[in-house]
Amino acid sequence: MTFGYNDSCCFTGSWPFRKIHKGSMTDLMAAHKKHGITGGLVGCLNSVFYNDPYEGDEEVAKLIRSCGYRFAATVNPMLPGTVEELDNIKNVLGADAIRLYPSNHGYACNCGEVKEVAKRAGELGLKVVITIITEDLRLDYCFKQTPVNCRLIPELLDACPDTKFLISCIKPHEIFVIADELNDRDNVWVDTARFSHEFMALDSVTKRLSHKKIVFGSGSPLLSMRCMLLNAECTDLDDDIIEKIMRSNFEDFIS
Amino acid sequence: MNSVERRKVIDVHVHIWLSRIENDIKELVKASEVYGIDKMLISPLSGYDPSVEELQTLNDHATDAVKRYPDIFDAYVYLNPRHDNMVDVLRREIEDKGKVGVKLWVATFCDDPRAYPVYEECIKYDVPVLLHSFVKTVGQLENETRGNHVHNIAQRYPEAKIIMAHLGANCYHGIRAIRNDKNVWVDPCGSIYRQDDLDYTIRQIGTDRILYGTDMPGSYNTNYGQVLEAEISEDKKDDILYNNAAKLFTKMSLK
Repeated sequence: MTFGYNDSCCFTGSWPFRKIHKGSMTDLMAAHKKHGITGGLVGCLNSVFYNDPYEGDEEVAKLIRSCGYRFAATVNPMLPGTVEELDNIKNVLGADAIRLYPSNHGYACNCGEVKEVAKRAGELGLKVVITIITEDLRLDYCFKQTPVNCRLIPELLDACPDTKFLISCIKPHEIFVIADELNDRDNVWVDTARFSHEFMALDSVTKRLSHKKIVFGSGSPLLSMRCMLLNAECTDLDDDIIEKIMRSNFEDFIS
Repeated sequence: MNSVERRKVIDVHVHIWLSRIENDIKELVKASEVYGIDKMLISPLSGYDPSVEELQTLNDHATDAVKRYPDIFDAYVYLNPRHDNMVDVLRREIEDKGKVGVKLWVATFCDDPRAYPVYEECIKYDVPVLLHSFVKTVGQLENETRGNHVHNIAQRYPEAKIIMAHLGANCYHGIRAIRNDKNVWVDPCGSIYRQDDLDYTIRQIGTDRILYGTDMPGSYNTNYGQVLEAEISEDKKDDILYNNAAKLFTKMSLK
């Protein structure tokens, strides 16, 4: 399979708190095409707030995969039967990864349920994406997210050494707190979807975290794809490093 | 790799903070080179309720920055409505120090009667008032202006030129409050925004009352990307990025 640029953090569907105007797969593919992105890992927004996320994922998994994209199933480790369900997520839905939403579902990343799910996911070859935040906490509407303590993540990584993790929607200052632990481990990457708070954020993050651990993620359509692409355009980093962030690091993660 | 799309830009909302004046100026000057910004309007800031002396120091730093980089900067006079000498400071800074607008932050709500003389003087001088406006689910400050306060003052002073910063933070609150107030402009500055925020604002109030601001030091890309991605004509994008501010700030120097 030939890879173009990849978007490791993108979604399709609706969001309960505001109208998403470009939430279909057609919209996502059009935006990606415009910017030279040929693939990525897509999650389903609808599923995040379903009592049973699997029902939401069932609706879109086939469509996402038929468009040539990889699918990240929504998983809430606190729901009963989740570990057993991972087989169906892998074999029936055809997922490549599971995406966790601890801020929306309200649990700590180092709790036993998460470790159990992540370990089983690794055994099945499913990657585990941890979404640190979906909306800025100050802008929550009707529903308040629980802030995620990123310091607890290295404990999860150690508990599941055979599972590949992507920490998604993490901010640069949160990375800096655990940068040494991330650099020391082979099974973890971060995406760029929340690298929006700093001047030339990629330059500053790569001073602390190996560029090999960074994959491009737009957060689209919750966030602006163009904004995140500008981060890759406005940098003093060498072109080959940007190429890795936009393309090959994702292959290392997802393969 | 630095290949950002260059357009004419006036950034009406950047800061220098008392605790890091020189670093902030250095970063802003670098940003002007990286992004090709034509003019930045400095709002100097420190604590929530700055003293008379602190305020004067800040305003002097802003004056100094404009003197050092006249092609890059112009500045607001920062005022605290709790100070008895507020009007004297305003007059001196505009008449003698070349300030092009007034900035109010969080010392009082913007519609506090102690702030009324600000608007009355600004009408006489024909300079805009930049109002921090930020509604928050968590962490709302005691005297932090929100969209409804901006609406109140816009109604009281229909001749005043008022800028509601940050789209009111949550645009679905802030923009609704001021959408019928033709003397209120908005800027989308800050780093927390989503693609749909600017699109929503455009649908609610059109493009004529939208200015471009970033809240730098910090991210530029978030706001720039939103404008580039907006589904409006290239002329309308130029209005947001440059033309609207060039018309509004009658005392601003432009090459």
